[in-house]
Amino acid sequence: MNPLAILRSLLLSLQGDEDPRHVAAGFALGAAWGLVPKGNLFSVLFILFFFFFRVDKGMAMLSALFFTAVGYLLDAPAHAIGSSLLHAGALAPLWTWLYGLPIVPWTRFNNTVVLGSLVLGLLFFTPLYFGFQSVLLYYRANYKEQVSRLPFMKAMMGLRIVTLYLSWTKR
Amino acid sequence: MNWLKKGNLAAVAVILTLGTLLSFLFLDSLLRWALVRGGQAAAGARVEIGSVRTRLLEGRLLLRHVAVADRSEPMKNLLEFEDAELSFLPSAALRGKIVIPEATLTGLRLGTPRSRSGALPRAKPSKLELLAREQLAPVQKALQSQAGDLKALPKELDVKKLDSLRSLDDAKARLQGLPERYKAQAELPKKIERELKEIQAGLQSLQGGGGSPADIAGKVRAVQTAQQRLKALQAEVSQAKNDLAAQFEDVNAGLRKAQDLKNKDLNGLLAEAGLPTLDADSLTKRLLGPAASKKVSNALYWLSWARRHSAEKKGAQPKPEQRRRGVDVEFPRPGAYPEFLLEHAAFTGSLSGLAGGKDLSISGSLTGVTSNPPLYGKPARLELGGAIAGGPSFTLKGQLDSTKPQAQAAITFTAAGLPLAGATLGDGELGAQVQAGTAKASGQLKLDGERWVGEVLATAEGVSLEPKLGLSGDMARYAGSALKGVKRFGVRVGIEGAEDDLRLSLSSDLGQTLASGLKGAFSAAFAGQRKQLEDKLDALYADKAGPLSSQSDGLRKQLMGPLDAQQGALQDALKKAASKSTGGSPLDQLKGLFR
Repeated sequence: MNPLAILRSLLLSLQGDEDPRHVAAGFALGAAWGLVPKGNLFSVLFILFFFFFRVDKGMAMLSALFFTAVGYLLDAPAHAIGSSLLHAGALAPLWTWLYGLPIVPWTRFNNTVVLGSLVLGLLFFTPLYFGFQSVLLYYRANYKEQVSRLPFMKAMMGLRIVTLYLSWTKR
Repeated sequence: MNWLKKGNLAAVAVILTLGTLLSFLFLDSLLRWALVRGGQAAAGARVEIGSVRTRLLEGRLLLRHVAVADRSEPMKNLLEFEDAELSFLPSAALRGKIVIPEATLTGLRLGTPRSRSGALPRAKPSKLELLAREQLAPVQKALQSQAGDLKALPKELDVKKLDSLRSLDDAKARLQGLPERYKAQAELPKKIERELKEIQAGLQSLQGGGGSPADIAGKVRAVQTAQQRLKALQAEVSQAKNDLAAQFEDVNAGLRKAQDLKNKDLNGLLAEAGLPTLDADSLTKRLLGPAASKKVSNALYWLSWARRHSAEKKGAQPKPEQRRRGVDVEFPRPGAYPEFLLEHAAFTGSLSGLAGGKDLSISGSLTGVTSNPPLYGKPARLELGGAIAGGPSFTLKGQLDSTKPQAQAAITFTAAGLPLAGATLGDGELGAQVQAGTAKASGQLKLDGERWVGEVLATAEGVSLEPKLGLSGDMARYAGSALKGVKRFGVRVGIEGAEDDLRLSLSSDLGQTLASGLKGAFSAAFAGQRKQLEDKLDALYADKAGPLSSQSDGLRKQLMGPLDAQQGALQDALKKAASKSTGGSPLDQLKGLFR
């Protein structure tokens, strides 16, 4: 996705008529995807989620970019959470079973940071979903019209390249 | 509202199929990229792989033209080989594991030159490498004495500037703090004495009593209990002694370090005064240090790497080395494969141009390399060797046993008849090129838990040196003559200590020979000035080191004495108890016991 498409997605997500629940789901799912280190099967699963579920992909992409950076800051707690879960005696049979299955170890669930980040992403999912939905609804109700009248927005939406792009994507 | 997008199912299926197909088509390139990246991360230098061919269903991987650069000498390869054929288990690969039952490497060559640098951009030397460089090859100081620049020798030495005295102060502080740290255990001798008396009284009381079977059984039980208590007390005394000995060893290490620093202080003072040091150790380090530090730091880097990567992970919760990396925790079922296992690799190759242009054929094997030694249950072993009849030969044997929490490693090597011609010693100001000569060397290095101990001994014979000097006047004449006169020399490299506090030493008679030769270049006045400075420093050092050493010995006797005595008493008591329990002692005692 190029920067223009990301900008367009952001503008449409905020200013457009897309269902706020889809935008909020994209934001929360993108956050979870961003937090989990890449290079394992979890990343592929997240991408499949975006295809199968009706979520705002532009918002998911933006959210993933932002939360990838946040992930570095949450490295230590993610490691601690993952480590405590992986070393919990009660869960050992579950991990051992998963570890012995084909393909599953490619998710790298047995890595402290991968598991910890996934748990953090899942924990944050609900508050991020509802929180972002409320913020978006409030924004659309109170500021959407004012923002759309800003010269910057008019210029952006009126740019030939943007309109061409939008018309092309609407085909 | 419907959350599911059924229409995308077909698109996803197409994308996944395409993705799988592309991965399959480009698997070799992807694998080559991953191997180069992983290899570079491990070696800390460039890794080049000519080609990779994978046969997934057969479980075979073929690598061609592999070169691993030497991080300490980037214009050389640490090793390279023509072909490597690895068999792997596809079923394990499906579970994210790399299991290589058999590998064959052919065309192995060591230390070959490179056409371009093998240094990685932004690569930093490891802590161990810096340590080896600092201790074996210190920053060179200009040797050339210029009488015009000679400053007056200081009349009084500034004790604050002397590292050796500071080190003595540190050792003294540690010694003074020792009784305070021992306070918690100060009651131990009294407690042991009390318990020992109780046990002895208990054993004494067994002499009386009844002789019925029940009484005898009771006595046996009492003796067994006494034995157990005595053994527990013995363990407690041993532990206390070990703790105390470790603390005294810490103080003694400080004293040894201070002795080393005294020589450095003297060299620093001489340099400040414009006098050349002519210290045999410094000259040794200057001539042999750079080469020795490269070899030693390389060996230490790889040993540390091997140890780190074979350390037991389950149960321990080490901190990740890099951000976002985390720590992999394995959950193997009994008998399952670890995440990585190389069961057996055989290699053959040659060392070129060692004996009159002839290649020395080498062969060896590497077994049991794994990411989880406790699970695999066998140590990793390396054997490498080669010989030409009447010519050079070498053997290298190594074993790393991380199957238990306390890792143990042992490496031994011997080499003989190694040609030295072409090697260079020293630097542009003070150096030489070796024209002829051969070397024999032997070495051993052991790791016990966290502690490394080892030494490398090398002797060069039939040597002919061509001096390469940037000195002038008498200095050049005397240095040249001293170097030309060298026909043989010995070198010793010592390694001792834990990885984060490793002490390396380098000594050779070559430095002494050169120092003796160079001394002739200086007038008696210079020698006198040097002696004055040395005497002053010695006096300051002796004032502190002497009392500290005797204070340490006194305190050791005071604290260890009672523990030693009690250990003896406990041993005697245990023997007596044992004789009572087995009835193996004199018959009259037995009679008394089971009356």
